[in-house]
Amino acid sequence: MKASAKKLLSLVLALAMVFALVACGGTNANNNAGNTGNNTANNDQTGDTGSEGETLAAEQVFGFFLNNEPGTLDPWVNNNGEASQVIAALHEPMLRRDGDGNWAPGLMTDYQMNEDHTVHTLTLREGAKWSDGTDITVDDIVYSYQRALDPELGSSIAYRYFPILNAEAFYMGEATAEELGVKAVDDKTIEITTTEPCDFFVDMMMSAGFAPVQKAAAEEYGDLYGTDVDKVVSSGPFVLTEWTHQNSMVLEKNENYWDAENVKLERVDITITTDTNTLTGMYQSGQLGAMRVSNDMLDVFAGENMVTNTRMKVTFIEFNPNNEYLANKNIREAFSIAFNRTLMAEQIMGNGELAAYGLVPPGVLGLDGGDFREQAGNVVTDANDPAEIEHAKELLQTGLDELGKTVEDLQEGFSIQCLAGGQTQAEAIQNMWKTNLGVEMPVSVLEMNVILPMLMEGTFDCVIGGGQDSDYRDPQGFMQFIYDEGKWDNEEFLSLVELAHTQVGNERIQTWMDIEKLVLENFIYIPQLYAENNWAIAQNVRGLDIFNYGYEIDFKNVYIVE
Amino acid sequence: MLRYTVKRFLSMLLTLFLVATATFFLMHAIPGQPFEISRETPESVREALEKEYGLDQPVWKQYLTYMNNLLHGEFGTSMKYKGQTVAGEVTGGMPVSAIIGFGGVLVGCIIGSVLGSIAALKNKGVVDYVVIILAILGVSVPNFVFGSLIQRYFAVEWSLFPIQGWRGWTYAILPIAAAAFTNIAYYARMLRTSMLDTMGQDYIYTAKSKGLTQGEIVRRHMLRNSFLPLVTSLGPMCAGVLTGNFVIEKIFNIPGIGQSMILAIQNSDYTMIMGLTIIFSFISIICYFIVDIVYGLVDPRIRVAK
Repeated sequence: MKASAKKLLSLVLALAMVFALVACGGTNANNNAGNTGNNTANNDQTGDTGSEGETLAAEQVFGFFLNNEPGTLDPWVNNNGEASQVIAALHEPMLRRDGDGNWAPGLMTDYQMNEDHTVHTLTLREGAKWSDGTDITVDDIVYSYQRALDPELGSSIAYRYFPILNAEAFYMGEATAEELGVKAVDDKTIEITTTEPCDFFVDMMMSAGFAPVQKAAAEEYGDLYGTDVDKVVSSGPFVLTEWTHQNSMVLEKNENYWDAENVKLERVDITITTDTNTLTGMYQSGQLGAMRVSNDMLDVFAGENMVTNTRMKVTFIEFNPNNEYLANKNIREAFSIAFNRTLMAEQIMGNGELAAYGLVPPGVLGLDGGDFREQAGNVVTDANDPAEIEHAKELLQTGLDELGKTVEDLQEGFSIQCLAGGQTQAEAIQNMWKTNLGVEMPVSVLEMNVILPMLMEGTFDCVIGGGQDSDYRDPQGFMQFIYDEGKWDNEEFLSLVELAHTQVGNERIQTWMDIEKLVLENFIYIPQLYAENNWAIAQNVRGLDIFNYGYEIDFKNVYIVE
Repeated sequence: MLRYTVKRFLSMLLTLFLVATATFFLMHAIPGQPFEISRETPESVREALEKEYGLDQPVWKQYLTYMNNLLHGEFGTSMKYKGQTVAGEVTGGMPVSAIIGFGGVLVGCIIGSVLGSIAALKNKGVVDYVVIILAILGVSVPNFVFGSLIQRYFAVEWSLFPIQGWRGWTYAILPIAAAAFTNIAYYARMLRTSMLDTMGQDYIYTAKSKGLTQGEIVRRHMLRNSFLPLVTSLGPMCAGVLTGNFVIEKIFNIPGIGQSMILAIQNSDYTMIMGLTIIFSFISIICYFIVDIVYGLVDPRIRVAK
């Protein structure tokens, strides 16, 4: 017992260490401004101009990495952002993305939406084949949707498909598969009906999570589809040929892929590790074609070919309005103002542009296809304007007076919760609150699977570093979760969200702008930072597509030059 | 001897039962849940998942179910990674960890003993000081620092060995070297002390006065007696070989069992934690048992005492 207790202790310590290392791989920044107007950072480095005089290398192998073992490569079950890159390489998405963020033909060659924005018609590519040589049929596609929502499969991401007509009812066992809003009109036309108008449905079609699976394989392997090397059938540019769990993967070119003639890469070697030193060593000796570089490693990569990718993501502080002190709006607002986002973005992320003064990050579509963030402007103010600090102090005092409490009471009243990866940020905010308001709140660092239930059950006080990203470039993707969680029962908020669901076009966007304002004026969600990733790309790598939402990296067009 | 073995076996079962029980309840006392869900996951989806894995049952019921399965030799499947079984994880990862672990102990033990012996024989000589410095370094420099260091130079800078992965014997060299580093220091120090101790014993003087050569004295009297503490230490050392090198497994990205354990704890992957803990305990207990027997073989006094 003693030995095993000791072992347990050492494991716990090791775990803390491993977690700290994982945290190094977070989202990061350098000095570039975000590419707010352009929705896809298509970093085809050669373009058509640079490729002159370059010869293809004899060995077309691209080294890549994942920080975490993908739980599964089943597009309809996967909940891991990194894994979706591999999924998209194996399973051809319904539609692909071009460099401007518009849809390009993928497994489907055409996409149409009716006037109500509720019926979405797609045309299946003629002659598309699975990696085993059989034809991809509309049957496979309809089956993929039915399977995803089948309670038997038990997919934890089934809710993502709920916008489809009768999806939720089918999942709850109140409707049949035939009633689901996914139908084959003929042997090459698929019609998907959404319950409510859905302007951004096309973005969903471009995500990895909607890529069909082969009916025969899915029926054979059931919920084990995509969990091992022999349980995946490809429709995408690559097939999976090796998978040592928690260690490595090998993808090889899929000769049966519809666009195989344009895939130059023969193999993708994927290393699964969180060890930044190991990955850096691999990059430096040419074994990785691309590597995500964290902030603290930027010095090491000075002089490398770097690309900054603004990701559509926002992090925020979440207050629990059921906490005795945080129930007071004046106190919440005081804390929001006392937190200087610009200062934090500059000092921790190295890029002041990443300071978030709204919940919707740059890049999300706004009125008339413009940029939502630019149009909505800054919704909150903070201590970046020194005059605001006095205002914050007054608000805090007013709030405390209303409660009949003192600053000392408040300091005992709640604590800050954060993930290991967000500790630096949490401590920075703790410090700003101390400097600007004179109150010092304790910080406790917790693990994701501990914080998550606290958030869902409402047993938290103040969580720093919560985040939201989206597979579609729409404001709904960044605020719908508040509605879905159901913790905030503000009548006005609920009715506005329900209104937005019935609207289309500019009207709908305008409603979401109002919703954002309403949410932020209540100071329950305090926007923190937007995100960007720095990628080091090896000198001999061309054609790597890096996207700012959905799956981040696409290997399809990659090739290696001498 | 038979009675002794039976007694040991029964106490082993009891220990295993206690370990399984304690782990089960400790694990459930830690907040968190194993599923990969996000904050948007609706209540209905979460409940369905909990039901599938029996987590909606009261803890005591889960405990009984678990123990029952265990008696039937079923360790179950991972809650986090569908399709990965505890048994599969163990059969896949254990041989790999064993190669690194035993390799590290073996290399460390051999080189350490040689260095330690020489240091003791040439007391206060150059080798002695080198060994002392090495011992201090070995104990104070953690093996992940040493591992990163040799990875940096031998793999990245000079490209002599692979940086990471597990595709053949060349992939084992650096990790074993890293695992051996601390052991070399440990054994060198231990053998040096032990040898110096033995050298002052009366029977060495007797051997000398008998006219035995220096080589014979070292081989037949000194080494044999000095190795005793080394054998004692091998027990705990062997028990730790499977799990002790998880940091090295991480640095060199080796698909060993140590990594699986860390990951399972990180993910609150209940079945995986339970299964691995029980298997580790089992191995530890077996190792101690074997050491007891070996100890008797090396030192006749212990056999006689029994």
